[in-house]
Amino acid sequence: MKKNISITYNHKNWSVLYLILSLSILLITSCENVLEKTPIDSFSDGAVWGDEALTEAFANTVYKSIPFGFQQLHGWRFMPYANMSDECNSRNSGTNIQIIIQGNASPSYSGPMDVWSGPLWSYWEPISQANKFLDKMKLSTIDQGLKDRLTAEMRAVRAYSYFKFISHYGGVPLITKPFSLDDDFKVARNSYDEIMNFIILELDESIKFLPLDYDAANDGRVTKGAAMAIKARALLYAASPLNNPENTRAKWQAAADASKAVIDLNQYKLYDNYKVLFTQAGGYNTQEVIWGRPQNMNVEVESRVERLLFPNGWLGFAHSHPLQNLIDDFETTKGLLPKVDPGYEPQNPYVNRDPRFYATILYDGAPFKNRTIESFTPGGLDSPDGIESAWNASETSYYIRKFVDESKCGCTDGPDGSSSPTWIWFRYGEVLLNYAEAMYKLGDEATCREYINKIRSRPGVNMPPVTESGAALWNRLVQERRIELVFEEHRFFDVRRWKTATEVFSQNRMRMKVNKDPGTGKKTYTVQFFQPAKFNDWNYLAPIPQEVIDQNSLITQNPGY
Amino acid sequence: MLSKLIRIMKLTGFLIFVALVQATASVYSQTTLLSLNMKNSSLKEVFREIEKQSEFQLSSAVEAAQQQGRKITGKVTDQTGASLPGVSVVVKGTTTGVITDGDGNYSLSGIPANATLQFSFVGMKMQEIAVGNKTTVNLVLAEETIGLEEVVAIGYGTQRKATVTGSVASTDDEMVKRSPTASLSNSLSGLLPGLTAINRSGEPGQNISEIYIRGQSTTGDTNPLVVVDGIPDETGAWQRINQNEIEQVSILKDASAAIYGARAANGVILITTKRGGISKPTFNYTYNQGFTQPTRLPEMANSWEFADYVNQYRETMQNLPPMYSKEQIQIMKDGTDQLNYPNADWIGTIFKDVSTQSMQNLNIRGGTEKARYSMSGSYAHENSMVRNGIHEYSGYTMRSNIDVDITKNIKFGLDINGGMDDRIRPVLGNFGTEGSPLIPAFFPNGLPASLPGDIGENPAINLAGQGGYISDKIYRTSLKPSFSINIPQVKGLGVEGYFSFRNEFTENKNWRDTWTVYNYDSANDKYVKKKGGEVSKPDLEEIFNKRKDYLVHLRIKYDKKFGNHELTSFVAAEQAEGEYRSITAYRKDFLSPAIEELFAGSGENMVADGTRREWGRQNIFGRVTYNYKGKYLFETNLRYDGSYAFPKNKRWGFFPGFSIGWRLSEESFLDGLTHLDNLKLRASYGQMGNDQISPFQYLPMYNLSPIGSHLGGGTQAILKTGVAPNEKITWEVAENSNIGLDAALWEGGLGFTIDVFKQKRSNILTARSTEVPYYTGLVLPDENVGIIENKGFEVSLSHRSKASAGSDFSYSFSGNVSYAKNKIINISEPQDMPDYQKAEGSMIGAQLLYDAIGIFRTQAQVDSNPVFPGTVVGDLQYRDVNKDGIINAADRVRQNKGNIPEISFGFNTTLTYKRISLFANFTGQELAWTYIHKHARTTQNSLRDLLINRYVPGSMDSKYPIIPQEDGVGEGEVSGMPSTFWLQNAAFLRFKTLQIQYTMPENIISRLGLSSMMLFVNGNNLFTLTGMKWYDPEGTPVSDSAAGIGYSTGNFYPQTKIYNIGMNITF
Repeated sequence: MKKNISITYNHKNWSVLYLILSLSILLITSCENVLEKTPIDSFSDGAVWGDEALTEAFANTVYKSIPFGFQQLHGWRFMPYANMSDECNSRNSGTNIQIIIQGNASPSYSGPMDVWSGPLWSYWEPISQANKFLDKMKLSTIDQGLKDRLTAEMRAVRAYSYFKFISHYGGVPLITKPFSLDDDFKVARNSYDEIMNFIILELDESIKFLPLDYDAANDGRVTKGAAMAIKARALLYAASPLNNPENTRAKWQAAADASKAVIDLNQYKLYDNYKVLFTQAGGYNTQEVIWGRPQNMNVEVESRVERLLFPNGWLGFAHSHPLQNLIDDFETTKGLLPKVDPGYEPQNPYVNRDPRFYATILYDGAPFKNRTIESFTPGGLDSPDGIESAWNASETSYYIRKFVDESKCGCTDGPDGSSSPTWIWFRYGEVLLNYAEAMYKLGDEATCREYINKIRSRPGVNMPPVTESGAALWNRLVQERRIELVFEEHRFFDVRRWKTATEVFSQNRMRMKVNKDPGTGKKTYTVQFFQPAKFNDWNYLAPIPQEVIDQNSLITQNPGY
Repeated sequence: MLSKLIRIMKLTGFLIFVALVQATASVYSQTTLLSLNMKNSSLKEVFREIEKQSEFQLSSAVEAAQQQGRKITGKVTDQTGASLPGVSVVVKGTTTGVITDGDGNYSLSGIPANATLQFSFVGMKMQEIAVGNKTTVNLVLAEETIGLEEVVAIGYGTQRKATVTGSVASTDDEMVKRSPTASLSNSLSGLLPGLTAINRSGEPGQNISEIYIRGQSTTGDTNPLVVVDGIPDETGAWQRINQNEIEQVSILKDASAAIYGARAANGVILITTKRGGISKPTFNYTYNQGFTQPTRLPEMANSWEFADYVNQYRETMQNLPPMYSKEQIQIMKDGTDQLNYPNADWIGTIFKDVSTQSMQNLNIRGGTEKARYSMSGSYAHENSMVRNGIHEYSGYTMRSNIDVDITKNIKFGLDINGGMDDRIRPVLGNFGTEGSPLIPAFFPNGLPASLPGDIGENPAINLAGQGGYISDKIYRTSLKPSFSINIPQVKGLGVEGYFSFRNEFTENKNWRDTWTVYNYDSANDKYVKKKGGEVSKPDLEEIFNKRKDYLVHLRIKYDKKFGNHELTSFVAAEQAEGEYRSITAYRKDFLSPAIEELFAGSGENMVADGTRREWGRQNIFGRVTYNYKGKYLFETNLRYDGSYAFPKNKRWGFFPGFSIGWRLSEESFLDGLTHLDNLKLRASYGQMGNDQISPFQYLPMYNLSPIGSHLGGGTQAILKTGVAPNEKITWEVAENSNIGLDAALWEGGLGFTIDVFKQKRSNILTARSTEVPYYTGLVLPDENVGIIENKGFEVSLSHRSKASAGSDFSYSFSGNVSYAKNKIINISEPQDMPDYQKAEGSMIGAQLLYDAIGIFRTQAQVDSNPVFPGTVVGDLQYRDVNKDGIINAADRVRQNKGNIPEISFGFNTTLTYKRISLFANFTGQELAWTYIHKHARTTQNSLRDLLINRYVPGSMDSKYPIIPQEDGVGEGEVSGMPSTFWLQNAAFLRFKTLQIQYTMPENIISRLGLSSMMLFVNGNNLFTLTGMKWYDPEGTPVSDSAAGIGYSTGNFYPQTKIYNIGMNITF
C-alpha cells in the first residue's frame, strides 16, 4: 500500500524554463512586424499615380462606368430609353417601365430614369472618378504628353456625363473635386445654365489637347471630334424649347456652329450600309462613328445583344418589342407615311417600305436566319404559342433587327450566342441632323433640307428627297430623326426638349395582331390597342429619387413630384 | 466528461495533496494554517513537514498508525470500468486518508470498526460507504451530472461549475453524440441556453447551421469565435469534428469571453476534444446507418389548375385567347393523355422517397502514468435525396492526442489532426419548383423533356449531373505540440505553451457540360432534339486555395491556496500569422467531354488568376480568480489585443472582464435549508471587441481587374478605386453586463440557472452608405458609427429522478429558453427620414415593407383609395401611412420582424429503464419571420395554394392577390412590392432528436469478447409544428440586393429528416 511519491528534479528544469521563456519573449518581441502587414492583393496610392500604365488603367475604368444602351445590368437597363419612349415596349411583366410611360414616375420609383442614386447606373460614377483622376493629376509625375491627353479625355468624359445628367434632371450639383470622408457632403443644385456653361468650357479646353484619332486598340477614347460632337449636341439641347424658353437665337447659332465645326473636320462621313453600321462589323470600322462604346463578348463581361434581342423561336429573350406606332412612321418607298400613301395595303403592310425598316425591324414574315419570322398566332414559332420560351415572345409581333448579327445563335451566353457591336454614342449622321435642325431654327431652310437629304440619300437608303418648307419641313426633320436615329437614345430626349411630349408621349401604344388561318394559311393583320400612355407636363424633368433628398436636404425636388 | 480529462492528467504529488486537503478541508482548513517554505525538498520531506504542523496522516508516512486497527483495501473505478487514480479516500470524521494509485487501488490501515469511508474525486459524486466487517471495499464512482463538481471549459482553462462566475453553458459528449447529423452545429440546436442554431439547407456537405449566441448585436459579422482545443478556427473546420471525438462544448456568453478580447463580442464557442486516460487500450467503435427524407416539400399546382391560371393570364394580361380549351383541361383531369396533357409532378419525380447516410467512428484510448493517448478516425457519408442525384458528401477525420510525462514536472503533448471533406454538387441546382406541370420530366417513352427556356433545363437530369458538377475537396492538417512545466521551487507556478501549425488546402473544380433534351412536336408526333447547356461546349474552372497559419501560445500560471483563500492566475501571450493563396485557371470550348482536365480545353480565351493575403495578430492576456472559502468568488480576465487590420495607432485594444459570485448556499444563515445544495448569485461586466471586417480600410487602395476595359474591343486592365481610407478605423466594442443565479436543490432534483444580460455594442463598423450621397464618389469604408443594444435572458431548468439503489427506472429533464431582443440605437442613416422608416429604434434587419391591408375587389375601391401607381383590381391595397393620397416609397414601414428568432428554446429528457434508455430533444423558435416570394408565369408553375387561391376577375374573397410574375421583389409589380402580405411567421417547434438505446447484458458481451455494446435507433427532425405555409420554417432565404430584402422561393435543398440505427461497441 505504501506509495512513495517522490519528485525528482534537477537544475536542468530551470534551464529549460529559461530557454523557453527567453525564446518566447524573443519571438514575440522581435516580431513587431507581425502586425505590419500590407495588402498584397491591391495597389497603393503611391504605386498608382506614379505609374503610367496604372494611371491609364484608372482612366479606362472611368470610361467603363459611363452608362450605355447595351448595359448588362437588370434586364430593364438594356436599351431603356427605347422602351421609355414611343419606340418599344419591354415585356409586360416588366411593369417598372409601365410606371414611367403612364406618367407615374415618382421620387419613389423612376426606373431606368434614375441615373442619380447609383451605384450601378449613374453618371455620378464617371464624374466622381474623373474628379479623383483630375485631382491626382495635379501632383502626378508621369509623361506630360500622356498626362495632358488623359486629363483632356477625363474632362470630356465628365462634361458628357454632366450633359446627360442635366438632360434628365435639369440642374444638378456641380461637383468638380473629390470628397474625403470628413467632408460636409451637402451640396445644393446648380442651374441648368451654370452646368451647361461648365460643360462647354471644359469641352473647349479638352478639345485643344485631344488627338483626332487613336489606333484601333484605343477605339472608344474621346477624340477631338468626339468632344466637339458632345459640344454640338449639348448646345442643340441648350437651344431647344425646353431649355431656351425665350428662344434666344444666339443659342441656336452656337449649336449650328458647333455642328458645322464637326462637319468641317472632314474626319467623318456617312457609311454606305445602314444595316451593317450598327453591328460588330460596323462601328469603329466605319468613318461614321465619332464616339462609341466597343464591347468584347469574348471576355463575357459585356452585353449579350443577340441573346437579349432575338425572338423566342431562337431562344432569345426578345427584350424589347417595337410598337406599331413606330412601324407606322416608317415611310413607304415613295417617301410618304403609310397612312397618306394610297398604295399602302393594310393587309400587306410590310412591302415597299423605307429600306431602314428592313434593317431595323423584324416583322412577321421577315426573312431571318434560315426561315421567316413567325409571330402569327396560332402556332407561330416566334409567337406566344411558340414551343420555345413562349413567355419571351413579342407582345407587339415585332422584334428588333438593328444591332444584331444574324450569324449568331442567340441561344446561349458567350460569344457563340452574341456578337460585340459597338454602342454608338455619337455618329456623323446625327451631327448632320443636328446641323439641319439648328439651321432650320436659324431660318436657313435650304441648308436644313440639304442636310436631311444627305441622310436620306445614303447608299442603300436612297429615299426620295424632302422638298417641304416651313412647318412641314420641321415635321420631316422630326420624322427623319425618329427613323434614322431610332433606338439610339435620341427620341426620349428629343421629344422632351422640343416640349411636345405631353402630346406625343400620350398617344396610345399600339401593336399588330397577325392571325394565320390554320386551314388556308391566309394571314390577317389587325392593329390593336396595346397600352395607354400618359405624359404629364411635370414629366419633362425626371423626379429626383427620394433617398437623395433624404440624404441631403439642400437638394430641391423638381416641380410636380 | 471533462472530469475524465482531469482524471487522466498525470497529477503531481503536490496536486494530489491539494486535492486531499480539499476533501477534508471543510473541517480542518478553517482553523489551521499550514505554512510551508521548503526549497529543494523531496515530496517525502514535504509530507513530513506537513505532518509536523498538522494532524494529517499521509499514506507515505502513516506506518505507525497502521499497526493498529483493520486494514482495508479496494479498487475505485468509474462507470465504464476504468480505474480511477487520484481518488481521495478518507475515514469520515478523521483526517486519515489516502489517495488511489495509478491503477485505482488503495489501502488503508488502522480503521476502527464502525468507520465510514468517504470517496471523492473532482467531477464525481462523493460517496460514503460504511465499512462494517469488510476488508475489501471496491467502488464504482458515479459521475456528477448535476454539475456542482463538474468542470467546464472556460477560455484557456477549466473551472468547477460551482465556482464559475461568468455566464457559461456547456454540453457534454453524450448529448452531442445523440444527434445523427454529420455537422456539429446541427447537433447543438436546443442544447445550450443562449445559442441559436438555424439549419438553412439539408444539402450534403453544406448542411451546417448558422450560429448565434444571444442573437445579434451588430449589423456586421455576427459569427461567434469558435476555439478548438485552444486554437481559434476561422475556416469552419470545427463543423466537421466527429461528435464522438468531442469531450465538451461550452459557450461563453458574457464577460467570461473577454479573455478572447477583440474577437469575442459575438460570444465564444469552446470545443474540447477527448484525450487518453490511464487504462489498457480501449477500442470504441460506433456505426450509424441513417435514412433521410426531406422534412417538407412545396406542393405545386396540378396541370389543370395551372392551365386555368395560364388561360386567365393570357386573357387579362396579354390580350390573347386562352391556351387550353375546356375539353383539354378535362383531359388533364382525366389523365387520359399523358403525352400532351400530363400532370407532371416535378418535385415528386426529383426527390427519392428515402436516401441514406452513414457515419463510422473508431477510437482507441489508453495509456500509462507516463503516456496517454487518444486516437480516432471517422468517416461520414451522405447521399443525395434526389433520384440519381449527384449531391454527395464524404468526410474523413483523424485525430491523435498524445500526452507524455517526461518527468513529474515536465509534460509534453502532441495533437495531430487531419481531415478531408469531399463534396460534389450539380452546377444547376433548381429543385423543380418552376417546372410546368404540362411538361413531364420524362416523356412516356423515357426521353427527358426540356423546360421552356434557352438552356433546356430539366432539373431531374441536371441534378443527376447532366450539365456538370462543382466539386470541392478540402484537406486539413494541423499539428499542435504543447508542453507544461511545473516549477517545483515555487508551489503553484508553472509554464505552459503550445504551438499550432495548420494547413488547409482546397481544390475546387467546376465543370460545365451540355446535355440532350427533347421537345415534343405534337403536330408531327415527333420528338425534337435540343441541346441543353449553360455553355455550348464544355468548360472547366479549377481553383486551388491554400491557407496556412501558425499560433504560438505561452502561459505562466500561478495557483495558490492559503487558508480560506484560493487564487488561480495566469498571464499569457499569443502570436499568430497566416497566409492565404489562391490560383484559378479556366478554359472553355472543350472539344470533347471525355476528359475533364484543363489541357483538353481550347487555348483561346483561357483565364488564369491568383491572389495572396496575409494576416497577423499578437496579444497578451491573463486571468486572476480568487475565492474566499469557496463562497465569495471573483474573477477578472484582461486582454490586450493587437490586430493587423487597423492603422498603427488603432491597432492595440484593451478588453477587460470582471465577474463576481456569491455562493449563498455556503453561508451559515442558509444552513437550515438542507435541501439546498447550491445557490449562487453571479454578476459580470466586460468589454469585448469584434474585428471581423475587411482589413486595411485605413489605406487608399486600388483594385486591378485584368479584364475590364472595353477600349478597342480589347481586354485592357482597369483599376478600380478601393475604399476611401478611414484612418480612424478600429474595433467594435461590446459592453456586456450579466446577472445570473444558479441553484441546485434536492441533490439534483431541481437545478436552474437564470441569466439576464444586456449588451451595448458601439463603434459598430458599418459603411455610411445610406447617408453619404452617391455623388461623393466615395467607396465607403466601414466606419465605427453604430450603436446597438441587445437585451435578454436565458432560463434553464433541470430535474432528475432521485438515484436510489435498486431502482430500475430513472429519468431526467432539462429545458431552456433564450430571449434576445436587439435595438439599433444609432446607425448611419439619412436624418430626414420619417420615424416609422428609421432603422434607429428598430431591430437589426428590420425591413422596409408596405403595409398590406387587403386586396382591391372593385374598381370603385381602386378609384376611391390611395393606390400605388398602376394598381388594378386584384392587387394588394397598401396603407397610406403618410396620408398624402398616394402610395409610394414613403409609405413603407420598418417592420420589426426579422429572420433571426428572438426566442429560441429547447427541452430534452432522458428516461432509463434497466438497460433501455430514451433521449428526446425538442427545439424551436419564436418571433422569427420569413419573407416568402414565389412568382407564377405562363410556363412556370407555382405553389398550388397560391394558384388555386389567386385572385381571378370577379373574386370577392380570394386568399391571394394577383400573383407576381417576377422573381424577386420591388420591381414595380404592385402586388409583388415588398409588403407585409408576404411575410410569414417562421415560429416552430421541432422534434429534433430522439434516441432509444439498449445496452446489451454483460453475459452476452463477454461471450463476444467485448466490454460493452449498445444498440440504438435515433432520429432527427422527426416532426415540426409551424405556421409556415409552404416550406421548412428554417428555409433558405435568397438575398436580393436590388430590393434590399431576403426572400425565400422554396427552391432550395430541403432540410433532412433522419432515421438512424446504430451500434456502439467497446473492447
